[in-house]
Amino acid sequence: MHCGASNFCAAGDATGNIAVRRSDMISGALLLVFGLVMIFVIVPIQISSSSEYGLDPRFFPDALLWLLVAMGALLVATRVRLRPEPAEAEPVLDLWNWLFIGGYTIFLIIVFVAINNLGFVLAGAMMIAVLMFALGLRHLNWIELVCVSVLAPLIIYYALYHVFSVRLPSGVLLP
Amino acid sequence: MNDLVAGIGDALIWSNVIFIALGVLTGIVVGAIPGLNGPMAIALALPVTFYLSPLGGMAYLIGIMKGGTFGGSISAILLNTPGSPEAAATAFDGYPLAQQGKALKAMKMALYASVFGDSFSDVVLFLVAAPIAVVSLMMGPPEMSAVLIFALTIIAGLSGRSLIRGVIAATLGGVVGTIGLDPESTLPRLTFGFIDLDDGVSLIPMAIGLLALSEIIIQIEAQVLGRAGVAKRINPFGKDVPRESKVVTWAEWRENFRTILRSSLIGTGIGALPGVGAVVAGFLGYAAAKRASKTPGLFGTGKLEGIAAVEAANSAVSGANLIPLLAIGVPGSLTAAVLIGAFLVHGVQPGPLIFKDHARLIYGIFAAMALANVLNFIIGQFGLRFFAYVVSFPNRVIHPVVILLCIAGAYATTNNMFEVAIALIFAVVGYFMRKLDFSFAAFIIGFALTPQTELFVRQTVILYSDHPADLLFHHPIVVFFLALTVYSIWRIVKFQRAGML
Repeated sequence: MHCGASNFCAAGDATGNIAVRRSDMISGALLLVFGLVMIFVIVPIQISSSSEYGLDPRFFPDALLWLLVAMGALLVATRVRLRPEPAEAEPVLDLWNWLFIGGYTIFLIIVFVAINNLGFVLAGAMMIAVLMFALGLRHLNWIELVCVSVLAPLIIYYALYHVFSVRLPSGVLLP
Repeated sequence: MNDLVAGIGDALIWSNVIFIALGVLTGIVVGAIPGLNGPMAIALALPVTFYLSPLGGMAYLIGIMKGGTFGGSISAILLNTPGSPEAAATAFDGYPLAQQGKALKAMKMALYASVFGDSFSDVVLFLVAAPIAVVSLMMGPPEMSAVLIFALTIIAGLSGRSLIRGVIAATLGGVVGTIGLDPESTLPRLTFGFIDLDDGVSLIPMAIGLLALSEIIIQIEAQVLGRAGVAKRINPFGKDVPRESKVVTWAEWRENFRTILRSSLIGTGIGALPGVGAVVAGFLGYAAAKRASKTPGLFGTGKLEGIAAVEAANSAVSGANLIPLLAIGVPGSLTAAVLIGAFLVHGVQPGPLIFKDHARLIYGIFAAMALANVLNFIIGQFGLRFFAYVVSFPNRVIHPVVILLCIAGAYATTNNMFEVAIALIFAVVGYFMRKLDFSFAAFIIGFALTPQTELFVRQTVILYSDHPADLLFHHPIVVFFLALTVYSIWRIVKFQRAGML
């Protein structure tokens, strides 16, 4: 269902049984709200206005955000006119997708904090082990899991250090 | 002429030849693994180029770009799963041929067509980029503003299936592009107090997050939720495969040459157009070959011509893609947008001045491109057994390691965990963009073009704020491109309504 790097395939196809209209309306409405919040709340706080210059510093962000608001509204308006999908149509993002991306985001935050505190090698080894465990439940190979999760972060760490002089966070294990 | 000779000489230095070969090898391997692709590999390799010479770094990335296109065809043929999206149509005839025991013949035809299409496109790039750059050097800020607005419209309209979604993606990219210090007043904009954002959001960690990490998240999700298809792998090196099923004969090559040439032309034309990419070129090449064939009914059943048509077309995009980037500074594709990062790292601003200020580097890059085609042919020809093995590597090993490489690559951009945070944030953003079909090609190109567009518009305002009518009466190019923008929007909407885009 996803597009890969191309962007030329649709997340959902009007001919398929996927609720594209619904997801477009929701994303259009969210973008509209996002744009308005940015224009009226965030931009005034974050960007000082000044008429001393050829163009106000707010001009471009505001112009782009108004365009975003207009396009969000247009997306909703054009999709409202389309025929609704059947009730059983599969949503573009179902409950499992939401649970997955929610869990994955938390996982990424933990990885980020762990790299900061424990260092790249230790945190990287734990991350690889967890992911390999999750991905290989049906064909779990403990030797493969231990070897890859220990060797990969060590090789990346020392390769970057010795070849490119990049010192990844060393943390508690390495000097 | 001195720069030309010196540039060719630079490209032939042994270290640069090795970088090109390494790039081609990386590109083919990454392209061959389903779920990983060329732009992703380029984003991941970008931080490495910081530590190389400008030509060495660009040569490495160009090698990846060229190898990645061919690599995608290997898994399309062996697994019926395109390694990269542009090889989607290769599977139509590639997999049936593999089922008939002719996988090696199919892969070789893919390689030959790919190298020919790529070389054809490069020759066009060498011939037309510099003359276009000369013309664009005569343009001032108003003209460049109009050209960039036109380019952004085309990219937004053609990089997805909906103009509205394309404009939204490009606009969101533009909003992110305005983060940082205002170019005129140097007042901070949307930095939320983070000093690291004063220079704006870095392209490299953002590209790593959007292109690589988000794709891996989607692949992992499909596996975790049990929604990933299981492909039956075909072994092309079986002992019982006769020789004629392993090679492309001279007669077969001659028979398909017209198709390869036609597809190369299609790919080059598509590649030169900002926003349209290799996927569209591949399908158009396939459709054109089918239309021109005396036996269109055989397409999809294992016809060598089908593979030749797709591979020549999608590979011919890569050279032509660089025409707008080098001639006017407008990235024509996702790959070209990511390459901007590599140029900027070495203090080179892509655009017409590049032929004047960095002529030796540009000719070196051209020579590296030609050399990369030769190496793509050699490595592809002799490495097929290895690449066929790589295709079967388990994702449970590849995906976690690629994530760790992404994190290391983002960190290496400035040796700062802030860049890792940027990559992780854009990984989640990219996940939703992919799911909801918002073009991230439009997003990244919108991001990359916004600072430039803003600068030109500001210069235009300063120059013409007292007499704006002059813009209309003394700058016909501005009027032409603005009219062309309006006309393009009308045509794109019309085509989309007719279901032709």
